[in-house]
Amino acid sequence: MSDERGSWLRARALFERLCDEPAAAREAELAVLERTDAKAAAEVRALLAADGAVTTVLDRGASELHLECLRREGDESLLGAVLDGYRLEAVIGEGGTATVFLGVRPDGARAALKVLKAGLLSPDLAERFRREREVLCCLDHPGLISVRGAGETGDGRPYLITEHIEGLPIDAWCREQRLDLRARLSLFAQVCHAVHHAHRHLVVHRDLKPSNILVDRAGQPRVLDFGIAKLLEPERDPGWTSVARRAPMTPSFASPEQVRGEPVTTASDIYSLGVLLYHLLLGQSPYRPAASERAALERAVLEDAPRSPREFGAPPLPRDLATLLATAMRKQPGERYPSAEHLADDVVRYLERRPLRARRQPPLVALLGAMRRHPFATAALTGACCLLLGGWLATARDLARVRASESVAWRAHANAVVSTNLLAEMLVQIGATGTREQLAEPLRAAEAHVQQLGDSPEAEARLRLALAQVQMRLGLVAPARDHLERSLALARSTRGLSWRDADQCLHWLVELAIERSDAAAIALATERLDTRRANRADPAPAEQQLARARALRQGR
Amino acid sequence: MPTTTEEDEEIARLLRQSRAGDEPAGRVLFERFYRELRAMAQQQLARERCGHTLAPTSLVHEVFVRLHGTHLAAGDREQFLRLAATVMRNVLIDSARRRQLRNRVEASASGAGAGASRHDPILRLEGAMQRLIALDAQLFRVVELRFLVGLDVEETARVLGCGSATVKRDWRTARAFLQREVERDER
Repeated sequence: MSDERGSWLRARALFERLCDEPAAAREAELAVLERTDAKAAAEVRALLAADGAVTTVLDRGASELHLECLRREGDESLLGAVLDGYRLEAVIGEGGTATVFLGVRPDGARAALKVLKAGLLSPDLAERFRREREVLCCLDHPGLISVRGAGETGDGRPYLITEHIEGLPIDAWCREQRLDLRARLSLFAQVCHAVHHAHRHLVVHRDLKPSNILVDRAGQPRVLDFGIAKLLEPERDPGWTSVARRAPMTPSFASPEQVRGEPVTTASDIYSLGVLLYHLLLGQSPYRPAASERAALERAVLEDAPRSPREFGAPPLPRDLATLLATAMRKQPGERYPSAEHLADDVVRYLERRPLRARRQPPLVALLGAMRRHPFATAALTGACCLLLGGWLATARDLARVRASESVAWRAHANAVVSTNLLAEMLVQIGATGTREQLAEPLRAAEAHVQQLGDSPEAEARLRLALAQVQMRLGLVAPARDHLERSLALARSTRGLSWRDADQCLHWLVELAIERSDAAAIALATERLDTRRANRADPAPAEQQLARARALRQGR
Repeated sequence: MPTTTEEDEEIARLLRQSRAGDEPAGRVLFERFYRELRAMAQQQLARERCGHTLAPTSLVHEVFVRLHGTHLAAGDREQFLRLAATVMRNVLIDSARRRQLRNRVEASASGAGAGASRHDPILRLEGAMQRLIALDAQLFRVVELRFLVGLDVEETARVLGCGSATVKRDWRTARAFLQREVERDER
């Protein structure tokens, strides 16, 4: 005993001396000790690592811990209860604010029910729950989890019903299936597309990591847990931000701006996707394992370049893949891929042995980057960027006019479509924050641009949809409705338009109609339902809307 | 205006008796604290349910105020707080055990079998604290006041009669020790 105590006291003294030293000095001293007393050195190393670790237990204090236990007991008392026909059979997950139960219906159907923890009910959190539901309801993509319903427990706690996914986290799936490089890349591209879909609806996930991406039995990756997802909204309500700050961010997948506590944009998700790809391709973390201490890890995220595979004795990645990873994981959000779709696109280009965009178009990436880095440093900057883009687009169009040759004209037309899509995407992105004044100029530029797209109905429909989304957020309902209606008209009359765009137009038009108690909501919702059925999409979101539209008429 | 009531004197008397080795006096105090602590926790949860999600002050501190601990002489006060820390530890262990028991019942009911007996973090922490008591009782005193009672650095320093730099350093070391032990058990 006294022996043990003696060696503890020595370790303690050394720990206290070293804990504030820089890493290099620590290492030097520990290396010396290692030669004479390896056990003591290991002990001090473990203490130093524990010193930097985040502890879920110790830092909260015993009182909070006890209250947490009592709250959980409140939750577990829900086991066996029946909500919306689902019997709660087991706790399958637990987050900071909610408990996730497995629900089983008498017919055997399964669902995941996420219930706000007992004792946490507050107007802010209830609002957040409602919003998560709305977020998920407007998202509809095979790669995203879908919502089945929502409600309140007997004691007034809100809950959310989503599909129950049986699957493996994406990294485990890759290992278990022994997927080769190409298979991993195409799986990853699917994840990017799902994330991009969320981004197009102004939703940032903020916590992308393997455990939040399950691959189901059919091999389809599914992104889940939008628990700390954020709707890009200008007004920063304090309830939301404080909860978000408390939410456990996963530092090893968090972007530098998240680590710094700065505002999060879609670019943060792009970064996390980069880290995810690094894991999938190399089976390692991009930062040194010694960075298991939170502080050290955060420093590495902010300062260190991702490790070269040579550092852990793996063969180097093909150059294009290394470029792709580096672009996704740039420290400056603005230097990353401008969207998850661009990232996916480059993955596909790599698979098809075509040159990447990451290398080919640095000025555009940089321009987009500048816009994202200083989204609203000044309205003038944004306006200038939009004008620049407008000019660039105009050039593309002029080119089309000047060169009469059909093939060139076609290429220019395709160019206009691609560029307009990009513009639409950017508009949604920059329109996700900022006030009316700040956005006046970009909106004006886009309005001017959309007038000139008469011969590219696809591009026009896209851009009008984007304009409408931003305007709705700013409360400019009348012009938004106008754009939506025109966009829908284009979608109806043009073959080859993505049905998803039409679906989205219809979704918003129904919402607007419901809001002003317009009976047209029923016809629109019915059209949406038909569109979705015709395209074999889950009819539930449209059915819900239709029910709400009908309720409206009955209510009057 | 603090007025000394019979209750204060009773607490002070019980503290002195238990310090002098009077076991029944110690038991009475323990039960009294235990009851109060649980009542405080229930009140806090009830407040939360009404939408008051203010950060809870330390439960032990509430008990301390309620039982007029602030009127105690310095020596009695430290004893009071350490006793309260022990009670807090027991409250934590009890609820962890309750949960384990329930999990086991459920697991056997649903035929899930093993897997439910995954070690509880609170019980792991309790094990770590016991090892710390055996190895370094002085360090554990800081854990009692900082973690279990929930005093801040300055208050802890005042109770222990040392400087706040010492408290900070000791807490950091103790925290690293406990964290490492808890992690070690996790594996």
